Amino acid sequence: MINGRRVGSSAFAEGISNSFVDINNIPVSAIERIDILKDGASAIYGSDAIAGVVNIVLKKDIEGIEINLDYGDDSGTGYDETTASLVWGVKADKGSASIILDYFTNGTLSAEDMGRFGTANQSPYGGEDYRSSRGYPGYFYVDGVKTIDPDCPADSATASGSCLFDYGAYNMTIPTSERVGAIGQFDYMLTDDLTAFLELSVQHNTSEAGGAPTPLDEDAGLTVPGTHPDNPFGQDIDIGRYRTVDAGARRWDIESDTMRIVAGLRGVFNDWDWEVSAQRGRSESTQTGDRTQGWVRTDYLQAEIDTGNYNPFGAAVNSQDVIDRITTSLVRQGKSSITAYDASISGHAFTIGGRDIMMAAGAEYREESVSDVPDEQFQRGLIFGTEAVSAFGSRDQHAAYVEFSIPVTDNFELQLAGRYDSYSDFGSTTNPKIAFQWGVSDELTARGSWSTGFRAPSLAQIGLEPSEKSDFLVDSYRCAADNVDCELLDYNFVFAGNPDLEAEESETWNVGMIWAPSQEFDIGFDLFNIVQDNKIDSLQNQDLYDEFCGDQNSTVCVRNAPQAGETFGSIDVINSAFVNIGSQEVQGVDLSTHYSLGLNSYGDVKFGLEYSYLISFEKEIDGETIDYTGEYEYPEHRWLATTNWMMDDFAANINLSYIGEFEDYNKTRTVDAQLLVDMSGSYRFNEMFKLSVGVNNVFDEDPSFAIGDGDADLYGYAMGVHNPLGRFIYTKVTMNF
Amino acid sequence: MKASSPVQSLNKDDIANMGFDNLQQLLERMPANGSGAFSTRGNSQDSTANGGASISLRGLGQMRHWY
Repeated sequence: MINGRRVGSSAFAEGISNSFVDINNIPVSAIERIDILKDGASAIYGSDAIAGVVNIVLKKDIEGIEINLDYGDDSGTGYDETTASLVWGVKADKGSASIILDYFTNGTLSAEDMGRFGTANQSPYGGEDYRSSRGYPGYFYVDGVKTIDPDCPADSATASGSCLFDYGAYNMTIPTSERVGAIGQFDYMLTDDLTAFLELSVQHNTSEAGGAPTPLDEDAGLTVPGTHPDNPFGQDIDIGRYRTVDAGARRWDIESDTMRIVAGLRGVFNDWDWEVSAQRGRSESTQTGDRTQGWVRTDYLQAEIDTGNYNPFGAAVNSQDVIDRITTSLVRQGKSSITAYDASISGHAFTIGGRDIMMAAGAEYREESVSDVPDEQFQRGLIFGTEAVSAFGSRDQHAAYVEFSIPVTDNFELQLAGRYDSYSDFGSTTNPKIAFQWGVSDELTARGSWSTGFRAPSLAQIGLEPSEKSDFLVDSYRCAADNVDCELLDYNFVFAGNPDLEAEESETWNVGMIWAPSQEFDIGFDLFNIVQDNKIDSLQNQDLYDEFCGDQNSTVCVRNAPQAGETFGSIDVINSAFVNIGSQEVQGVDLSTHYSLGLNSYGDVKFGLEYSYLISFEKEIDGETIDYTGEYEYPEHRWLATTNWMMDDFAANINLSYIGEFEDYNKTRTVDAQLLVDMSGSYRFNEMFKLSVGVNNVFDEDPSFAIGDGDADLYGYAMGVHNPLGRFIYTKVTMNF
Repeated sequence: MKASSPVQSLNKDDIANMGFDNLQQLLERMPANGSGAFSTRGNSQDSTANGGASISLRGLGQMRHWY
């Protein structure tokens, strides 16, 4: 949420179908406050408020100008950050206006900068060899027999005749990006009881993405005529797997433009506060690649091989002239839009037994659409080795909610809320919430809540057209029958949307206590439990494999025709889908404490600790329950400890953030905990000028080694959990006028 | 009307003290974040969310709407 309102999702979905709000669209300089509400809240906010809500409140009610300039870098690497922002505001009797301008850019943290975490061959470090079988040189089929390129170096050749390739070196651990944004907020009092408001924001982001040169496999159907001048076999052959390294690494340029406008009126009528507003949000993303960026077309490549111009043998580097003829330009375009209208009132509803019962109620109407269109060259099957997503979807939805706050006694307050949502695609859902707050004594407060919630299927999960993804598997059926493909290899999975998906349902409760014996000290804990049913998931790769890949004629696990004398052909593609398949239950404890200490002439110190302990994280799929607690990417402990010292014009901070250990993906070892230390200090010279310096990851801590899952994590650490950035030193100047 | 709910609140001073100009890096340090968070550092030729970033409260999935 931004300023309490739902924001539209990104035009591109993550992991093919997961819609998300892109937090790269919100400049830090624009943020007044971040509230992380850690409680089920579908009864008030509707879909997705299962595990909580993050509300970003933008800076407002500013008077004057604040300018921030900031530069920092991870020395010895290509990574740096430059930020410049301007916040301007003015207030008058009749209203206020504020404008925020922000610029951010960062350099690239490359595979080379990552050292041992920059290679896919992690076997020297105790990990897996995740190098690809699409090699340079590659392998061929001569008279239907798999034949490795004679020039394949010995350390790249596998027992089954593949020539491995390390794509790690072409990876960008953190790609360069640039973001420019502007936000304007305006309030104008029309009368004493009526205010008009307007919020506008635009954001333009660019970044890069990319990886190794184009990989080609059997599916590409490439052949080399016997007459080719470089053909060492002297007869017509098929290309098995090969990679056009001489055409260069694949690179995407990504550009996204996001716009949001909210206009409304708020006022007071008979002691009731009311508000009506309309919101329009739009996000457009474009991903492009051109001829200099490694995008090879298979039909062009085949033509150049046929004429003898392109040499696919012995890791030959073909001339630029030929490369220009086998490469192409690509465009992917995504759009997402949201249009929403809402109205709400709040105030004193009635009095029962001398106690005032407060009420809030509201109604919403929303239309959303997404489209994600890949280049038609993908759809014609001419581009290999890169997933192309194609998705279309739209829906509208209306909702109404009501919430009561009932002071049952002087120190016991009950809250009742309920919300009805109706969606044009999957139907309607009603979600209640009941909560209490009890002042046990002056120092001790207890609280608790129970609610149900839901999560609508993402538009991409419903409207996804068949989209490819590659993942690693061992083809154990073929290995057992024919003694080939016994190693971990990457295979193509195709996902398609499912229009019959239902919403995910959830039930959440939490109970907690806060003890605040003084102004200086408080401590609170909350126990939470979230159960989700009807969870939308893609079918599990290994389950699909086990069930279908033992059949040469399966339509789910599609195999190529077997070679002479063999039982199974190599796997061509495995068809996967999204289904309401799973359920999961999460239980944990949050602890939060604050302590401030006066040091007289040495200033004041404030300590804070936010600690989350994961008691259990159980997922159930196909009747099988797996406890992920402490398993791969599910550490039991996470905490953040902050210390802030202030004296006159000096301030200093030390922040420790800790992510606990967890089991590695293959469960044979433990991935170590990571403790990062961030420090900063500042001095205010005068009313106008403040200087800050800081160091993030002071001890230049590496990410913890992990063998990884062979899917997202191929480079020896858990990318989704651990920070790859080394010691980062920054200087910031703040000026106020 | 949310006094009965646990809320972690960071004001602009807390945010400045954390020392990040990038919301993703800031939220990543929060203990309530869990499995499923991602950022541009996962970007590749194959990533379908190139350029974007999100966090995942309690590891229950990316926030579609921050709700």
